[in-house]
Amino acid sequence: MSEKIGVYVCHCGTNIAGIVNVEEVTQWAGSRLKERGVVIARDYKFMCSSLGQELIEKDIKELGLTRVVVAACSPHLHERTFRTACERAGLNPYLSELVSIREQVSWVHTDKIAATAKAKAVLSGGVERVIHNEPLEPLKVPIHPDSLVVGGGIAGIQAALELADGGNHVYLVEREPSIGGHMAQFDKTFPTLDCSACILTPRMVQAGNHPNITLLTWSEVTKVDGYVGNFEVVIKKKARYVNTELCTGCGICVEKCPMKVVDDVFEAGMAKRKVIYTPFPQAVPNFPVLDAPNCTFFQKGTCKACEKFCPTNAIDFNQKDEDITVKVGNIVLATGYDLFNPRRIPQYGYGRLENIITSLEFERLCNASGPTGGNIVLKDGVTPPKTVGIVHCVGSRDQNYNGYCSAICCMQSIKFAHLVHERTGAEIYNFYIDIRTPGKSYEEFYQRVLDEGTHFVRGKVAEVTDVARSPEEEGKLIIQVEDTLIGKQRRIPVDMVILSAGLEPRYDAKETGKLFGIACSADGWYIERHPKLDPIATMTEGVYIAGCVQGPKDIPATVAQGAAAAARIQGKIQQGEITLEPIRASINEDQCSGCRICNDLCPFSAILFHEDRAVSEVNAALCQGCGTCVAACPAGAISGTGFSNEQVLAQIEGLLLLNIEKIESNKVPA
Amino acid sequence: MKQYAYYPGCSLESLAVSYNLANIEVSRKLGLELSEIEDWNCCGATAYFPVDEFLAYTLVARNLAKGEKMGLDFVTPCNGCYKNAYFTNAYLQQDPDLAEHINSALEEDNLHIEGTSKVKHLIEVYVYDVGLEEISKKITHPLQGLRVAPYYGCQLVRPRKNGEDVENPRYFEDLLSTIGAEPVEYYSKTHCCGGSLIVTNRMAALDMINKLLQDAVKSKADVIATTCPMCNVNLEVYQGYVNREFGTDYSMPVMYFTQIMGLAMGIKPNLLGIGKELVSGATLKSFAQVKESG
Amino acid sequence: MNNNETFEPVIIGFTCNWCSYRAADTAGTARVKYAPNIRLIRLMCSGRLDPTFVLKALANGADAVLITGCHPGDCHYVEQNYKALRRFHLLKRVLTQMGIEPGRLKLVWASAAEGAILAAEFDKFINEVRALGPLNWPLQKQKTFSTPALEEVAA
Repeated sequence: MSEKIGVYVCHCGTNIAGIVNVEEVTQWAGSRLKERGVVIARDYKFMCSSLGQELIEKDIKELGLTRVVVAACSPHLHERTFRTACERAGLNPYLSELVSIREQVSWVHTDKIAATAKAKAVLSGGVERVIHNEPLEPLKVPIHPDSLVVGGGIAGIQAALELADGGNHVYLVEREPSIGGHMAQFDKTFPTLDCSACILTPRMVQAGNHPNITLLTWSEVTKVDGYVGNFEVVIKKKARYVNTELCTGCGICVEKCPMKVVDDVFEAGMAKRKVIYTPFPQAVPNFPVLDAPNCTFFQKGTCKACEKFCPTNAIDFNQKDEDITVKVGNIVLATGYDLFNPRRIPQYGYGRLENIITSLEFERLCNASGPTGGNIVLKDGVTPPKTVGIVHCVGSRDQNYNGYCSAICCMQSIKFAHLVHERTGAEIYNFYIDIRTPGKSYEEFYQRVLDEGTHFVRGKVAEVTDVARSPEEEGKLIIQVEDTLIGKQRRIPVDMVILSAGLEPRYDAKETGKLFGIACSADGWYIERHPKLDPIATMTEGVYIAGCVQGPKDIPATVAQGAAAAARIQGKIQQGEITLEPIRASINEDQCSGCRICNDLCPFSAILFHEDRAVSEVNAALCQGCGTCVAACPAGAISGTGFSNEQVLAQIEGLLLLNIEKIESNKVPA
Repeated sequence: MKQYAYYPGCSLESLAVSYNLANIEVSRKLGLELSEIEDWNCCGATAYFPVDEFLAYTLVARNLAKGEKMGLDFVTPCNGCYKNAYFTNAYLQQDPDLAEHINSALEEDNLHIEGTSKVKHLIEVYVYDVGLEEISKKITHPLQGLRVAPYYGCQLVRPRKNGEDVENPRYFEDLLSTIGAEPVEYYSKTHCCGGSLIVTNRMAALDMINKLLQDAVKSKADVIATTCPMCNVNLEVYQGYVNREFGTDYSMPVMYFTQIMGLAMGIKPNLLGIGKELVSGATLKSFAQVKESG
Repeated sequence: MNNNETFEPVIIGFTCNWCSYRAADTAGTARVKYAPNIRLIRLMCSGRLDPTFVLKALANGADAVLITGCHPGDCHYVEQNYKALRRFHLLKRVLTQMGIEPGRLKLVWASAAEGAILAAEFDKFINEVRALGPLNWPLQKQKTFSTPALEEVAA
């Protein structure tokens, strides 16, 4: 009991004082907890104000306080405020505690007597705990100036360019043969109707040529070790079977290749590609890739047409996958989204009936470099549709599939309506639940398409069928829907149906997340540090997320997130080092018996085992401070700073007012 | 002989008595005994639940409790009764408050329900408990060339249980193939027949029945096979009304699936209640001949 | 104050910094009311919960303990709440063998947004424990009907 504890109880205006008798609590602490070390107890209207903080600082200096307890609002709000106040007065900031008697007492209880009693107990808990607090120093960790951006879509490209322009070296890793992502598949972007490739490709070229960017396409990250500022990443460069030092991108190999397969990645299954191919004409880098599983040479040992015709001898059938290891300080995950598969909704007939296509398939249809040269035609490849139905919310806002809204489908569907109108003059029906046009110029775009004469039917489509019930329906696809604005069921015969399928996380998002040490939410999108105030950081220091990995969003928001991630990283690089909260576990080697129970419990692989000494050790920089190992150690050899056993056990005693009993009855309870 | 606690349901005593006859005959042939639950009561069908949910559950639970007492699986041949029984049973298991409430009412009749018995539709018992292989052994008069539209009806598959396919189930088709008939691709096989709307909003129901008949004709079916007395009545009894209303000229035989099964097993038509239909007698006779020569 | 007072339990609740503690805060900001019988301790993660904490709480005057954390799959530290779950089950068995009613230890998951739900769980648990009565832990000093903690109020 050699500590000198200062207790400060906040009124918070009437927020606390209205229910809790603050003066009584203060007076009680000052008298009843005196023997526990409380030398001063004050109450004040607003402890977080500068005057309030000054009270603390003054007492620390004048009374030589060694511990400070503030009873006020939630530590999530002002823990840092009071810690900083202590620091200013020369007391280690971790020797202070903030206990909540507002969110957890005055705001939730109506019985004033009970609330006051509870406030006393809570304060007592804080006092007992703080006695066992130890002075802690934040950890400083150096930051490697290189960064890794995973995913070469618009989010990744933006992040990479910003970092590179800032003078930092970036590795940009992309799993497909070219960067560009989904944006490269689109025809026009809403609401400006800019050609997607036209606005994207300059960025792609810039990224491809930038001296500070090491572009690694047709590559995947396979291992991530280390911690913020010091990551060691293994990247597998898959074999292209093309020597990029010699290849000039002339394209003769592609021309001469005799084998064609369905391109279900870039062309969304709407067209075929050669077995040696570049995914699209503006690919960056412009080196082709050989699809070995479908290659005649790899399957049967014959052909080799590409090799024969290559003017620079760049084809190398002996090329192997190559693993490279890089050191980076920060990582941005920008791996994008997958489209909801409408086959999961059998009533919509996708995959069973012809001329029912998804949004991405329609984008390819519209695209001038797509399978039909930009002509919107039916499956026969020739006939333009006379009526088109566009279905919103396919697989989104639906309890049976995904409950969330995919953010871009309304605008995309309206854009489709405009494109169909422009190119075919067909009669168009959009089927929606709500029209969501929140962005800049979005609502005006919707109005424009309304003026063009597109019919907007408010109703969730029940069924798309080919079973005709009247002569006009013969040979057509019939959309059965309840038009909720007129309160009638409608059957609308159309020639073509476009399903605006929702956005989903990548099929392997969970595994990728595990690789980088970040978690997915229930819907599968990566979890951000704070949904409102920090959408691009994750709970893992040094790993950031940008773009649709965090949730469905449009291109401007994606670009903003990519830039934000880059800015955050640049700030860290500039500082050269970062400080980490010293809430960590540490193992007392002498007590450790080497049982290794803790090793497997750590989700961050922060515990190493020293074979020579048969003891485990916690890597303080990797440790996130969850404390699971502390609780699990059978020898009690692991202590968790900031949440030690002593602190928690003392807090329990304090909360149950055992400290008072100890003083009063000289009986020590068992 | 495998025994089941049999819940026929109200209509099998009256309008659908032929269904009852066919069920008992076919089950016996397959080595099953349908032990009728003693003093069973109406299940409330679709009408009662919107009126008073709690009383409706209790009504159904009384039958389930009696079935439980017999220690046998609960089987019913009617879609509506099946849906009520299945879901009452399921909710009782999930919601202890509901169970307690209902049991306090059942106590008056010295009954208690645990929710432990399994609830099945008769067609499920044939397809899954007996098995298609066993059934095929009993087929003596395969109905070659008979094109049958399998009409599941909506309450047999909805609400969805255990991830079953509600859009395109196939077990009825499989059963029909096993008995030698040719199941057709029946587009509206799980669509509603209108149910009790035939009484409250006749036009709406007739419109729905019209579509069902239209689709059967389109798929060139010789007969529609049903698993529910309500569906059967709507499709058969009101065919004339549909014709009058829409100017159509349907004469589509509608039979219970057990009647068709029975014919394939060589059971005499009158034992299966064939001849008791309200419409389309003429076509049925030729149908019976098919069996004779088959 | 003494014998004819209805018994008011004292419950210690362990919360995790990222989800359930924030849920309790959310209940506060939304002014959702619940009974004052529960006193919360903040841990960084439910995985930090050492079974000795529970035993200590029960031995020192608490009538019950509530463990809370992030929903499975949502743990800030990826999967530590599963470890808490494992310990909870084992602990419950141990407590039962020690003669403590299993209803005195409960595990509830709550995400940061579920303030109202958590508050409802608090009330539910407090009622359950009230029905169980005071914990007759032989090593505790003799208790009157109102617990020592509330006695303080009168002092």
